[in-house]
Amino acid sequence: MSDETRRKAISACCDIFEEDGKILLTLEMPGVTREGLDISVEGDELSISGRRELPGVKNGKYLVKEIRETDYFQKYIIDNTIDRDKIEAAFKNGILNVSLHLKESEKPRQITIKGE
Amino acid sequence: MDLIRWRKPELSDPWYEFKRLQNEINDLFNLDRSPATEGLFDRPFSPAVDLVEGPEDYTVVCEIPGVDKKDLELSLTSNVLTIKGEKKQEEETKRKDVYRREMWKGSFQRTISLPGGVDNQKNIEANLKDGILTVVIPKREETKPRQITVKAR
Repeated sequence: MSDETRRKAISACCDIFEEDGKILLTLEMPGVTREGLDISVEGDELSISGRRELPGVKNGKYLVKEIRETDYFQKYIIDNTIDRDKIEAAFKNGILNVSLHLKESEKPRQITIKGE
Repeated sequence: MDLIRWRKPELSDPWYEFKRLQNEINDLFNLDRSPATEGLFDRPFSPAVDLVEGPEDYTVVCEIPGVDKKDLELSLTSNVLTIKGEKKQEEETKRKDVYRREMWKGSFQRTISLPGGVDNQKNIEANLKDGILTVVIPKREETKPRQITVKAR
């Protein structure tokens, strides 16, 4: 394995909401490119990994270094209420939005009352 | 003589992780040697910043995921660079069921005092890509390192 793949991975800052029959995950992944992003579902595991490409500085010395040279990786366990075939993802400005749709059978249903 | 296979120190040294931790803790107290990166009006939530001094210029790298170009304001006054911006909250009112919230939102400001010798006249390049802002500030001619050729007689 090359040095880059051995880089440490941390989990990205994440917001999780539920809205209109969808679970929305928002992850902060600055420096990750679209090519470096990998989202996969295997059984009950949703794994999200992002490889960062930080602007390299060729020759120079760091006076301040706060940005950590890590990649992003995390795993979520998703249960059976989530439709595996309806997972959407969008990436913009270093923010990843993943929406997991609930199965139709799990959504709240309105029951109409028939009356005379 | 035996040939010993070279291995990465972190693989063979069981104390590597502890040493790294120790270095990181030591770095916490070394703040006085680095330039000031916080101003009076900075807010507690501030994006992470790298400052690199190269032979020709200073490079400032800043992590600002989710900030649009139009919400970002950069200014340079003599040698103080200010990064100001706002991370917009999106449709927060609609969302009721929150499971987890780790991201911070709102406006932020970061003030970085660069070491002297900044060229204010020259073009300053700023680039925002995938949530990473890179600003390249050229140095003044007289502060750049000069090559001196030695003549032999």
